[in-house]
Amino acid sequence: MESSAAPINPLVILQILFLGLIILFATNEAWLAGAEIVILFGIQYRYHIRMTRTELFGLILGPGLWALLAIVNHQDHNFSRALWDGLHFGCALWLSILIVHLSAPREMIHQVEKVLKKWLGPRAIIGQISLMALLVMRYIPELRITAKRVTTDVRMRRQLAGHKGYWKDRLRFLTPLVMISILRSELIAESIWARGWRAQIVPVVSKWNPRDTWITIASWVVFLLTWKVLI
Amino acid sequence: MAILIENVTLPFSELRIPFWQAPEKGLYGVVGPNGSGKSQFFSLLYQELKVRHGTVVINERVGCVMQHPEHQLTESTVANELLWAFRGKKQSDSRWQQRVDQIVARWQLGSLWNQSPWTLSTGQKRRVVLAAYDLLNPDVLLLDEPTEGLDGFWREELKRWLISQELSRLTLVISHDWPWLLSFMETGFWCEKTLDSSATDLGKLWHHHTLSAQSPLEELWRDLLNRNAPVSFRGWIDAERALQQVVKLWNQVRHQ
Repeated sequence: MESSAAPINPLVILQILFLGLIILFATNEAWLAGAEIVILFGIQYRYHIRMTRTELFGLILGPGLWALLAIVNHQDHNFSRALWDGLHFGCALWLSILIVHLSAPREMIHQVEKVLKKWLGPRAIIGQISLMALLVMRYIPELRITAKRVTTDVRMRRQLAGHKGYWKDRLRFLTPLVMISILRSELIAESIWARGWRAQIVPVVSKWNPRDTWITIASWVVFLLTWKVLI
Repeated sequence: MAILIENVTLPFSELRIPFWQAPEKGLYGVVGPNGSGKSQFFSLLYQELKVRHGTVVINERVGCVMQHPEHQLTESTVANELLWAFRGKKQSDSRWQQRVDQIVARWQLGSLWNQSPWTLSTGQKRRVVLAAYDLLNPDVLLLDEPTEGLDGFWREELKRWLISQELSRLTLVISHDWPWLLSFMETGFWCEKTLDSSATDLGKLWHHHTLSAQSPLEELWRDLLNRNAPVSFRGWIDAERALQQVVKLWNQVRHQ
């Protein structure tokens, strides 16, 4: 495994990719999948993350097997749907490999947690946040149904009102998706926390720098603009 | 042949639909046990669910108020939620404005007009979605568990609105709220393993299929009907009417 030449803080990448993955997994929009792959590929290229032969082999073989199993095991999975699932799996695999190649600022997380605990109570805040992230991933199939329902509702309303709609209508699913995730994640987090899961294992360290702050701010501004202004 | 479904089996619920043709207009219930495929049947009608075998013909403007109103709220205010689909329409059109005002008044959304739909209660969210589809005026309206979250007043209002729409469109309603359904709806389709191709009297469906009673009166009524007592299928939904029928029955028994 080769380390990155110019490491970016993994928390930044996690934020960007996590948002992307929610969108990717929760929808059946091919252009979003394409965008996600471009982002993943861009990050890999930008930070000179080289993958071993085994990892590259896994990236190709894993999704292929997934698609094959989907076709064989499930009568309702037609050919394109199975390929689509394979693509999802491939992106998740890609993301996990990128994260393994990068390093996380454990000291910073501990410091932040210490401060937050002091002001907000005894719970491990970062642990809670990562739990929610985990849970959103866990409930991706449900979110996907939500996105599908919203898209159907938007289509129905457009057809009933008698117009073709705008391109941004395709992003309408974001609001309910985010709101439902927020509403549900707290409850689900409690249940998983009660089962003993703790976010203690954090990959290795690199310092948070001003560039990370700017990228974080920019990615969230873009997200909020998309959500609030365009949609 | 506006809506026709033939030889379709739905995934997961395995609901079979050998033949189902939508009635032209009117109010119909779609009833059956949990997980029998009622909501899936709706998703087939609003074309979210695609099937690989069988025939599905839908040539109508279909609208649906789904089970979870959260799936239908995409805007930051109630006003936008109702109006976004009509962006191209001239807001100065007085008839249009009148219609919007009428609908806002019907669903009492005036005080919520500039609020975020996400700050509302479940019943209020449902009213927002109902109002949106009231404005969109579809030819076929599908309501999936519409009484969930609505209080007694709004259940009655919804009933009144549905009755007023009976002759102008086809409305299909999924509900487990038997007293509410029986209080205004004549017929429905039973959905369990197979979807009935023709509508049957809802009172009979209640008697033949619903196993566990929700109230002592419902249990008593089922018992009376099982003993072939001359009482109506819907007598139990109104306590006063039930009492009248029982007294009448009691008098008959005494005179025999």
